[in-house]
Amino acid sequence: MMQTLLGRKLLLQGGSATAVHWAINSVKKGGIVSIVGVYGPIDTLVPIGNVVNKGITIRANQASVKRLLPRLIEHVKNGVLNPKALISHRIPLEYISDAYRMFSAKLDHCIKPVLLPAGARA
Amino acid sequence: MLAMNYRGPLRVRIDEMPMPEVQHPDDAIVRVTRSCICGSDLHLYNGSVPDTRVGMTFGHEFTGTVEEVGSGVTKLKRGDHVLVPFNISCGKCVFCQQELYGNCHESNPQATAVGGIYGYSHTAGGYNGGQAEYVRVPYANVGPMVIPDWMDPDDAVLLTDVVPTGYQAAEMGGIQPGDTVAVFGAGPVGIMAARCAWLFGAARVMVFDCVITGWILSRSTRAARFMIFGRSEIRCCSSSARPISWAPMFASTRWARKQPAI
Repeated sequence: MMQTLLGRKLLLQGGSATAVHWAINSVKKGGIVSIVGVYGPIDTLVPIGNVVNKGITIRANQASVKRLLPRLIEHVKNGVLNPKALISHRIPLEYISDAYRMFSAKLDHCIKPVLLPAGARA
Repeated sequence: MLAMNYRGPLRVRIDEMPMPEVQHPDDAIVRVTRSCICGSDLHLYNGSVPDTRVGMTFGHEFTGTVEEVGSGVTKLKRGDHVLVPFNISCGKCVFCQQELYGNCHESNPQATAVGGIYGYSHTAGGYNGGQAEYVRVPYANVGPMVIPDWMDPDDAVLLTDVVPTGYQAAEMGGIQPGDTVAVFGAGPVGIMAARCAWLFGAARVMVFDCVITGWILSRSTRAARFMIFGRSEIRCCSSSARPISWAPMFASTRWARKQPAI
């Protein structure tokens, strides 16, 4: 409730504060909460009392892509990961405003649109 | 060249923009072949990221072919098909030396807040992004990586952000064999995090979200058990999660290669 008010209505919080709350409140005592994604530099409400009293470790960072690439490429090569199955829509670059509107409203179950510039379309 | 042009919250359009130029010996100019819109671009689109300036081009997930290189670029040559990690890193600072490429201290004037990121407002360095025909890639000896011949470009573009972010989320979770893992958010990164959690030995993986569509479920049979939370209850909407030993077993069969499963 508080997160909805501060986050969505007043835009004082950047990022998904609700998810952080759910994670901190549902992890076991002594557990680890791992956060990725986009959060405003200072203004997300974290229930720090629960973090302290449950002995939770919070780990967070932007992905270090270059460090991980060699092993991820191996996983893709071996078929362990099949990331291209995530792509839901392929949209010409020219239609970008429609692409944003569609993705933003999750129209047509759009979860991962790829934009193709004219030169890349066969 | 055509590029996405941010005009204000909820207003983006395609526009004719000036061609990017080599501004530094270590720069490369890349002609984009694939470019994704990321869920985090919607924060920019909604106007909730500080210092998002009108006229910026978004897009931090892209692949492309190298069109032009500066005099200092030795690792790339014209014609190389590269995938470009979303973080811009110098490769030399104390953080890059520790392989914290997402926390580079040189690529962003606001480096105490965040490292440099393509097309992610002036808070993240003010670089133009890849939702365009051409893009300038700084520190071209460090970030871009030539895509192996066998790799599908669709896989490559997702290796720039979605897959590493999901993988690192699982890695940072310090998963011990037998653990139960909960992932909040059933978007591409959440699904990938769930998928990667098995690789670290999780015994049970659950993904929670308020909206989980059939499309996601049909593609994510290898990923996890999916849970929808409503106002008062949590409901399981799939029970297809498999124990860890199954995942590599199926991955190695021809049957698995034919499946669209993530």
